[in-house]
Amino acid sequence: MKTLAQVMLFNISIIFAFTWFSGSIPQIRSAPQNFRPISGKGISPESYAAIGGSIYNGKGTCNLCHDRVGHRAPILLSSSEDGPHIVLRAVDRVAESGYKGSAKNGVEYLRESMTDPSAYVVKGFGKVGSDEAKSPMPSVVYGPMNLSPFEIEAIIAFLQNSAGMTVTAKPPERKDETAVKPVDTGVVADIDSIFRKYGCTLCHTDPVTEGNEDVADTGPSLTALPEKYINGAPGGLSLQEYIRQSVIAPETYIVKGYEKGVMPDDFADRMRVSELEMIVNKLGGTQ
Amino acid sequence: MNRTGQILATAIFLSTITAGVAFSADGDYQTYMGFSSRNIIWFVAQTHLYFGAFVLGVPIFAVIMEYAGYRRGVLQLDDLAYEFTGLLSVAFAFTSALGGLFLFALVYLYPTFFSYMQGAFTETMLLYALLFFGETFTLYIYYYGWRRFSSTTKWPTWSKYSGYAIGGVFAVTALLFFLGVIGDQPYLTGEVRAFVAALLLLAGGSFLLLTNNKGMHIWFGVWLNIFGTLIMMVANSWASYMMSPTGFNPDTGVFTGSVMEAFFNPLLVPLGVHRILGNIAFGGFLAGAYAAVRFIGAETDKERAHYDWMGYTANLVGVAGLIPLPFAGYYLGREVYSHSAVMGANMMGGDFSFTFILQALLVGSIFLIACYYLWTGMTRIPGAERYRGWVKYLNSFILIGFAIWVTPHNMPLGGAEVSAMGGSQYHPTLKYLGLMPAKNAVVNLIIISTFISFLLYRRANMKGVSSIVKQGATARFGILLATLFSFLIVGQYAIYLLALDPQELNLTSGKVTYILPVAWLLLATCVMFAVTAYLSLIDKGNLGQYLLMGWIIISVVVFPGYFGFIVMEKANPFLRNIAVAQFLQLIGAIILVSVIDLFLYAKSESTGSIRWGRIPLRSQYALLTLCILVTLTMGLMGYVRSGLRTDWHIYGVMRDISVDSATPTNFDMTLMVSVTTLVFLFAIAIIFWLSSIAKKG
Repeated sequence: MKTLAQVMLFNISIIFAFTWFSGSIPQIRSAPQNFRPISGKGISPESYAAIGGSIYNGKGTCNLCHDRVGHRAPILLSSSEDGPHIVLRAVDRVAESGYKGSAKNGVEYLRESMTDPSAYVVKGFGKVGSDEAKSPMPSVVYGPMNLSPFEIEAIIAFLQNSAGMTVTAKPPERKDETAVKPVDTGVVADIDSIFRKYGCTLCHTDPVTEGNEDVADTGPSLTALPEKYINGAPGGLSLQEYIRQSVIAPETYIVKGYEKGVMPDDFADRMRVSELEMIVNKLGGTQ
Repeated sequence: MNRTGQILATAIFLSTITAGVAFSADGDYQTYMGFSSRNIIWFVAQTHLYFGAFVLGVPIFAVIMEYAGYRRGVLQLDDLAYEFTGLLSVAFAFTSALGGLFLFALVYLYPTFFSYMQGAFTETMLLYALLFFGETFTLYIYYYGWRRFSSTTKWPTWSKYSGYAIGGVFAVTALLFFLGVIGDQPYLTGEVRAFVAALLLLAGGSFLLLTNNKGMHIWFGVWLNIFGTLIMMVANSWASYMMSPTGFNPDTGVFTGSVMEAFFNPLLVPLGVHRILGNIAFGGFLAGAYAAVRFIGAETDKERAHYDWMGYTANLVGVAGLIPLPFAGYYLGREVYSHSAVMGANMMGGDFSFTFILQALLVGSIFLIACYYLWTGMTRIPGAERYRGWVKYLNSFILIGFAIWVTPHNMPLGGAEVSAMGGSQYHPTLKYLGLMPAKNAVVNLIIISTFISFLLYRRANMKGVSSIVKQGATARFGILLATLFSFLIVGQYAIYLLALDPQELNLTSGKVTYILPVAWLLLATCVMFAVTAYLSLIDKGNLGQYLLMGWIIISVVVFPGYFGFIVMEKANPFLRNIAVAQFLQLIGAIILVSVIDLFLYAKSESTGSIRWGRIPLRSQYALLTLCILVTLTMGLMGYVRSGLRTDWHIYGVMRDISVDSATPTNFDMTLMVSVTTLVFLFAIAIIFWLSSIAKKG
């Protein structure tokens, strides 16, 4: 019995040490990145491109393979051994005699490459064993990426912008977006997960990490609001009331320098009261 | 209720309950007494898996021990195998009880998900229950027939030839299946064929044992393992399908394929290979912990000597399973990546990057502690002090390898952290250590260091080398056979690479310049095998061993550690072939060096017998730690495998829209893994205790 007690105590000590160490490293809790399409009303091309960049590096996970490190897929954002910038390459590609896809111009080719990657397989980047008939890239429309037409066009806008060209990609009409079923991913327990769940950091500076500077100009910064509105918020509201209003009725007051119609106006339907209050408390400094 | 009764009840319940859930509403989730559904399933599934690994790992361990005892005439090994098989009856009851609980919990808490899985896998679910009959029968006859079937009196000659004939049929079938003559379905990929062929060869090979009663007993043990492997593969197919589903309509997510298509999904075999090796290591380390507990509580020197020997033997099996495990893990990870780059990239460069750091810490610690046990064990061997100086170098190699192994390529960062690194999510220097060429190189370094530790342990009480020339034909034949084997496994791959058309890997013809150096390297390794064999045969075996191990360090650690980065950038699809080349060279070298060592020290003068039982007590705690760490690693990697699906029940097909869809933090994960580990170890302690009172009775 004494031996058993000794051994169990030893077991518990080792397991406790492991648990303690695991608790001491940075913790990440990833809520599903299930962004609803953002309304495209009145959005500027630059803002749209910035949103596209965020999707390219985030939800779309494009940068995981279209990158020099690993080089698992053609490099897109600069000229390289794979050719010039993808926007220029796309124009040339549809004109090639070997091109068998259905795109008629560069933008259509970019769209096709995302929705049906095997329509044209770049030499050297086919799925192993498929004799370059299939692309290893999954369609962005299905599965884990599940990009909406709004998001696909945003990526095209981002690619055009990164090539230094005029952004011609536009958000699709609202009717296209209604095809995407709204999905409630359930209550999330922490503020960081709420920001991710509702895609706040797609346009606003992340108030938790203060990161995401590349899209910070799409929506106003959310950091240090209590200091900014120390003398009261617009409309004579308290800061907490103002934040609440900005989330559920964003068109009521537009911060100077920002555009109307960019922020979705349906959070009142989608967001739980408890989640809204967590946002209000976090941004309003009352947490 | 006995085992058979439990299985029948489970099977009947399975068939009735699954008929009902087909009518469940979409997106239906249930809760139980306010507990998180995910946590309930996680806890039950993980504990069930621990027991599953135990009841699959221990029979592998037992049969190896019994066979070794039979061939070498060591009764002690036979007793050891019997002692461990005695634990299985109780463990089986625990396992099936947990399996039933898991099933009921799944049906109740996740009815829609279960309904989908049942729709795709009905036939295999029933097969799963039926296979238990085979396993139960073989287990009972294996355990209860141990004494009854112990005679080694030869059977009539015709029985031997009958066994050969049946074995031959299996072998031919395996060959035809492997070559693709049998079956032409697209899901029968090369790896599926290789796996099934290996299983058929094992089954066929077992018939060669049917020459006496003892051989027949081992035959039952082999079939116990075959049934166990089949059961595991059926259950694996469900888990791997959730990661790599096939046969569904991408627009609707509705399953439209065949059950075979679903069963042979892309991750079935990689997961199966990884789990089999993991179960061997798990069985070994668990047996080691059993021996350690007995050693700590032993009251006489005789007991201590017995359990010391048992701990050493068990550790040997554990490490033997552990050595190929990193390669199997790489194979599984590579296939995960091939199936979904998003899942693959998330594995080591996304949400799970810190989890992989924890994994590297655990696995690195297992290697380090296994070596520590050996180094400590050398204190009970007279003459071992000659090798003490080596330990600090081996320890340094393992620690350096360990440090590189834990270095991630990248991890999720905040804006401030990205700015601090010059605007990149990758550290300018350390990012290279996080890539596979570096990881594969250091894993090989750790394995080489572990292997050298074993060699030193083996030689600890041996003085002077024996003349192989004087040992005659047996030694020459043994060394030449080992050389031929190593030559073949490495040479065939060299030839394959020499003939490899880069276009097969979707590379342009010019990329052959990245393939040929590896092919030539393999040929050079073959030459080194031949040189080593020649030196051994002219009584310069030690020199041959040093030369070969030195060359292997260059060819599997140094060269691929550098060249791999070039290939990664210029001809990435070829990188996986380099990993295979590293593995084959290392395995070839380990086999050849081991066989030479066997003859080289066969008749050496002894500096004294191993003083079994005279090992420091801390070594037994090392054995205990190994068991705890390997259990924690299983829980942690189980979480990674499952967690890679993020918020999908079935990746890309059925989304998790429950309140538990978020990926938990590492701390949450560790809490769950730690609790399940504690519960499992406590239950195992009860099983050991029950076995000991049964023995006393």
